[in-house]
Amino acid sequence: MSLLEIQNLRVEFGPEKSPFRAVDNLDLNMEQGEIVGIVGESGSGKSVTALSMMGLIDYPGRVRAERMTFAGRDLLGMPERERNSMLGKDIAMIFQDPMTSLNPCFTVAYQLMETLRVHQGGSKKELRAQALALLQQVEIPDPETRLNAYPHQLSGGMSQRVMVAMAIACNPRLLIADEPTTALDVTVQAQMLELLLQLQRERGMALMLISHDLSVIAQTAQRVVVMYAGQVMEAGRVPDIFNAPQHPYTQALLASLPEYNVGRERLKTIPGVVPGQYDRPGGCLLNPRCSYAADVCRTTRPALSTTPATSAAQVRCHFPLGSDGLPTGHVR
Amino acid sequence: MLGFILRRAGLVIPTFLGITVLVFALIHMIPGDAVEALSGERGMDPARYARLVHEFGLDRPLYVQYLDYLGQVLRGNLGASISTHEPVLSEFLTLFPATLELSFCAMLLALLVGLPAGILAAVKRNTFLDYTVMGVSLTGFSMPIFWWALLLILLFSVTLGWTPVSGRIDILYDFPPVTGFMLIDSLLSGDAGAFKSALSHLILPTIALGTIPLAVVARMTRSAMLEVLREDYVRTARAKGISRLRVITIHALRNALIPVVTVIGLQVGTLLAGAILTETIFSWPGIGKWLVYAIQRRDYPVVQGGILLSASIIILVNLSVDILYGVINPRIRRST
Repeated sequence: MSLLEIQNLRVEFGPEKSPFRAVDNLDLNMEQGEIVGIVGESGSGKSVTALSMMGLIDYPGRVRAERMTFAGRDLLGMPERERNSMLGKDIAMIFQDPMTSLNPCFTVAYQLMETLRVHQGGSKKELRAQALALLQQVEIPDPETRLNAYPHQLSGGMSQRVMVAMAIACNPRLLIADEPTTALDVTVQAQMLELLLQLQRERGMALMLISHDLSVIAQTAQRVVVMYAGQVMEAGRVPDIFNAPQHPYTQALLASLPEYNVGRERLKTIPGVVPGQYDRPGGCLLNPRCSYAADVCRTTRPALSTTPATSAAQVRCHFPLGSDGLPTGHVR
Repeated sequence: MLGFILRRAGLVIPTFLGITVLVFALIHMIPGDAVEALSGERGMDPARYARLVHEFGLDRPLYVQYLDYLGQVLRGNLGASISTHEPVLSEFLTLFPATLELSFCAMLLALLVGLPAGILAAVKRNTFLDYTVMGVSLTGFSMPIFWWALLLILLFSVTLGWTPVSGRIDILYDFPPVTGFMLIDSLLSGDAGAFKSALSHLILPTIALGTIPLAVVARMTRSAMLEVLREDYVRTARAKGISRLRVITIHALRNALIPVVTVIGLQVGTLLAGAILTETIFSWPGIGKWLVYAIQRRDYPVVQGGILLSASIIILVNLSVDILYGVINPRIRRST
């Protein structure tokens, strides 16, 4: 049994008859202690996927799935009380913008101790000692003073460390990090990633790392899931996907990395934007932006299929790319 | 925090001086003077008029009169009423508890009903409940106090006979005024009937006076909550596995209260203004009624003193609101 099992997840907004599917037909499994990267442009449904696992998609959003379990427990059907006892304890999450994610009205100590109190209880003194220990683990300098600080007195990197401390407070089995470094300075980004990886190793927790930045995923994750317009386009082991992407979208994302553009005057880009509610194309969702799109791509939506090339990989394309980087069986 | 309080308190002095100037100027811009008002319809001979004007010091230059007035005020002397010859301050202090009791109850009503109503409307936004709360509060806000008070009297006092029409307590009851607050004094007298009577006299004026603040508090709470509920830290709180009730009442409300407290402070002015109408309609012996009476008689010292004292109360309330604001919102303490 995997730690996290998601089958055919759909998250819909808007009218029941013509809904907007922010996440569509998504399958995802995670094992204990595994690091999975989820990558994709803005609007590809990465955050919505994470929020739906946490039960944080509010009405009028609708979350449906054939199966969505955490350690065998049904995440969709569970009553609110049971979910609350699990959130922050077994599954924890940190968010993109640390400066707005902490409550400005309460001290760091209060917010840290609150998590501990809700899930394990204990005297004020014990909780405070634990909070202090947590701040030390996330390597906040002068933790004694920081305990009494309000969020507006902390820098972005410091705030994110407090968020991490709060998330790991109860030894979660799964930590979801939604763009944890995006709002931080470049110099702090590397430290933050290093901290997350170190904590993951020490505690053996599973880490779901959501990022639009392929290089972040490449440095950290074991497996990667490439999302586009709410669907999984490609999934597989990090080295396979980074060395030989099978999906044109993955290839294009990689090609737009600065590392692949050394010596060029301009970075390669993918023309167009992720389709929204009103401009979802027929057929493959990528076809208006795909340089290899053929007629069948415009009419038939491809299924996510396991490819013979590498058994661990899945790809959603009519013409998966070969090891030469060109589509196979392609007829224009 | 202490520095913050001192800085805020320092702002009180220029505000207070400004009010004394305004009050002084305003009353002298009104046509007619106290001597004319005293003489009544029969009029008086010019020599006697001139003597009285001189006696009251009304023939001196305005700035001399003002500085003289200011000097007296700073020494705690607000002068004596021209019509009753009682010191203004002691008259004010006798009557103020009645107004304070009424205003306090009205504000209590506004908070006890307005805050939960606003929170519920925000949490259940765009539902029947939300529309009802907002519709009723808009109606309440738009209702002129004198009209609303008359409607209440007609229904509850005249038609249903549930509550008395006017006054603070039945004349049957007699007990020493210890605090000046009828509810407390009647309790101290140990007479359950007296307390019941005082309470029943208080109900309608409280509703009449409290309706507008209630509506404002409910609407402000709703919009502030709606804004706060969308904030990232509310999502963080929910992701921590905290119960929904706690997320709303601790994490969201604490932040939403910041603008609401400001509005509550501003409503104190509305309360004192509303008290004038409410007290007149319900024959409530407070400073509102006293001021209206003094204006009609051109009783300068009473009007000046009454307005000055009311304004000072508003200043002090706003000062405490500012300090409270700093207590609720840690960002304010250092940034100003």
